[in-house]
Amino acid sequence: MLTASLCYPEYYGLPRTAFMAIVYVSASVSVLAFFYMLRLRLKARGIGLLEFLKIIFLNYRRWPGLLYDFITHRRLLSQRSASGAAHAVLMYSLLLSLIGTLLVAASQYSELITGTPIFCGSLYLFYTFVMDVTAWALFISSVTAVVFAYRRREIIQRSSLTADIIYLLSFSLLSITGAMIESYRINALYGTSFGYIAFNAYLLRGLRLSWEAYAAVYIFHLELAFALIAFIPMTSIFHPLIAVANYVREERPTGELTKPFDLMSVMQSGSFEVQVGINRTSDIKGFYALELEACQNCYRCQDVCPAHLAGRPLSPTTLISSLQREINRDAPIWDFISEDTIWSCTTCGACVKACPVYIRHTDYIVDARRALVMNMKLDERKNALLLSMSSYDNSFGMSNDNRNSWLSEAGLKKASEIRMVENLLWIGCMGSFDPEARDIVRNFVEILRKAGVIDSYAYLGEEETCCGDPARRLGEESKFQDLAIKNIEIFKKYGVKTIVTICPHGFNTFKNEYPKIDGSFSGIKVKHYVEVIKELIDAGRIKPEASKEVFVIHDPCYLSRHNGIVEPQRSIIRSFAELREPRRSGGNTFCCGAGGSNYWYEVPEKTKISHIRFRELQDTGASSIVVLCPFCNAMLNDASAVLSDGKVKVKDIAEVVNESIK
Amino acid sequence: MPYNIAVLIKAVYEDVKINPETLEPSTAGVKFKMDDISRNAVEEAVRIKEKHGGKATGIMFGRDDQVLVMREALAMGLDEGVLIKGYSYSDPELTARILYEKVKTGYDVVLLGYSSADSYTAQIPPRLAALMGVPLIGNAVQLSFDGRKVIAVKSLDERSVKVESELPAVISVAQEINTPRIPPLIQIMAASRKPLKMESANVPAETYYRIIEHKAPPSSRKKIIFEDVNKGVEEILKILKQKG
Repeated sequence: MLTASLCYPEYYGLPRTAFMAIVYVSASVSVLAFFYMLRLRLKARGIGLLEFLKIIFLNYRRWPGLLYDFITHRRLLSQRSASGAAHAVLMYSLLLSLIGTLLVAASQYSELITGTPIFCGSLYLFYTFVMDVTAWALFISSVTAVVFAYRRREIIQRSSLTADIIYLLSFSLLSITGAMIESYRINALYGTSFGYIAFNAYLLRGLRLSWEAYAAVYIFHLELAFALIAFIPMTSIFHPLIAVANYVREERPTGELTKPFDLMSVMQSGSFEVQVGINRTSDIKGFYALELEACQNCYRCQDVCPAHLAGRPLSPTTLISSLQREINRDAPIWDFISEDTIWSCTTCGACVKACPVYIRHTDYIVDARRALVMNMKLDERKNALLLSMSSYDNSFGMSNDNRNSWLSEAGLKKASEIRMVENLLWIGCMGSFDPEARDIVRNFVEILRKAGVIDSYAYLGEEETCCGDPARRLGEESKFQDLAIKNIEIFKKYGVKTIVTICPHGFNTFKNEYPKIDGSFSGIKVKHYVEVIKELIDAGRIKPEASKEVFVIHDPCYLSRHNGIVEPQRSIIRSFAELREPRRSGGNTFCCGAGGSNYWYEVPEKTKISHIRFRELQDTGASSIVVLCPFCNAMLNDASAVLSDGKVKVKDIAEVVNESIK
Repeated sequence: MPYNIAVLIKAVYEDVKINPETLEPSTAGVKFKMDDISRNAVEEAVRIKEKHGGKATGIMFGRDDQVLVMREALAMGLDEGVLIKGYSYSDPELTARILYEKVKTGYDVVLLGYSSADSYTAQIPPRLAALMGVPLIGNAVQLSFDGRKVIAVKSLDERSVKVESELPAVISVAQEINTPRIPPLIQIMAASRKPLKMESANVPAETYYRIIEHKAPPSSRKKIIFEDVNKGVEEILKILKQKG
């Protein structure tokens, strides 16, 4: 039965020239309409069509990563896997249909040019089978998608919901009409010979379409397909294209916030009237506004949001969709977003990493904070932090004199005494002023001493202030940059080669944010102390002795999620003790509740974020929780005291390692 | 109706180190900050202006190196500032006379903190009111204006009283009156565009006040600090028991 002459019969039973004309005219109109509507849609956000295409095509280096996400659908499948699977099936069936259409076109061109069509023989039979499966997949997934869309009717604007449903139902219509056309063709040509391959044709063999009906369905099918393409930019089906733009537009790490102005240039120019933050919807412009429109209210961000789970007044989904809804109306965002919503965020980044369309929720949140800071609309607790930062250059509002004098007793040298500093140990505000965090520093310095490398390290002492993270995440950009400029000067003065931080927040801001303040900073290496401990163990300089303790690691957001440091802490603990993993760990860790300056103020909530996290860690049955951040240490210690009477020990990794070495 | 408000601001040292041997304060290299109670006065002046309109002028008897403090007050929302140079030490009589020269005419309201955090004399409000010959409302925790009248709630030790006064008046504010706004650094920088007059005070050679000695009281505290809470509590109990 398989013969070389078995080929896809294009325009079967139809006047070839006329139908070719119909197809090519429709296709041209469709493509032109697509670009016209794309231009209109982009123009509404003040973006030129060319600018948009340039962004997408010139950043081709970012395509592989995007393609990987797209093909694996990992963000869609890791949570809410039912709707994620429906999305994957719908997307793949559209992709396979497109390939089918392209095969037909390719066959036509090859016939025109070489005289032989290519969509023939076993390829033809194979892909006919694929297309039959695809028709079912497209039908089922688009109907499922309608159900999912309807379930979210509360949050989606009515007009948009209607358009989405019509669009999705059109996909099912495409699959039905496609099968009808095929059944007419296959049944007329081959009867039931390929019943197992072209099974849709076999199933629909009783339909017995007249030629007129067949021609009408044929035209309807192709015109519907072209219309759907043309209308993409005007519907929410545009979201994948925005997602592409969101992904390729910038390579900024999730731990790095945007820089609304350059303080140095502002000071030099003397024009201080800079527009900072989001106060009105009209402050969100261009790609920053377009980014919002990718949101399809899938709730994946809300599912992972610690603030939401603690019952704080923040849902990242509602936040983004309300901005999206109001973007065309110039209104103060405070008409529909409460200040507490904005302050509820710990900037842990779980939402950003969960978003299938690459929206950076925290950018909008921090920008809203920036507006509140500029308008001086902070409450007492936040004002107290601002005042500490402005008066004392640190987050504790204490004098920097003698902040680390206790370190000299521990045998660590002060930078001013040795002039050139190879490795600078940045103690941080917590390490300097918080008694428990001081123990972390003490233990780490002790490790350095036992490893015999203490002489290559130094600390700043009263020259140390604050890395600026709390100021930046509170929305006080100018103070952050002021501190960064001053700190970079100090690092330069001592010729610092590597900065080792105790706190992951300082680590993140030095690593990702300082190079954007002063390009010359990128020559300085930034390490978190867990990396140093790992290096010392690997080099055989310290050797932890086997322990019977059972540990569970709490990964800090700013170390593991934002900066991908997951393995060192695991390999350290595993080298001498048993390690258990909590429900959420590594890059998917869950916030302790202190990030994003939350340590310094309170927000209305039903339960504490730290309590939720503590229970997850406690559920592993481990006897001790290992932390790698002075803030996590403080939050989880408090939680342990309340929830387990302190029975579950919270220990810093420096303490754990120091105790296990002689 | 709009009001013309003068708000008096004081700059104080951020941290003063005490030499443990001589007990003398050392101010070398110590920065200035706006006195906390002055922040409340500035905040109130800005709020009155925002509500009723008018103009708020910051006036400070201070020194050259305290100009940043005035800038911060301007960033909070004052329209202009006057920094009178010549302050050397706490002399309430002299300070009141110098400030009086600036505020004696043209203002409906003279706002200031009830007492500064460094010298803590609480003398400027009454002295100023006496020199000006206008009513004094002290320790105000709430203000409302109605035409040429001000109604104030004053906080006394155990109760509060509501008083009414004609304007002009000198009003000293207590800390409870408001939560002052904190300007971000860039706003403080931008405030350098606002008018700031630098003047020199006419300080007479002979004044009533003279500082004889400036020392911290000798501390009899043991200053034992325990960093481990559990151990610390036990140790403290032990020491307390020993001392009876």
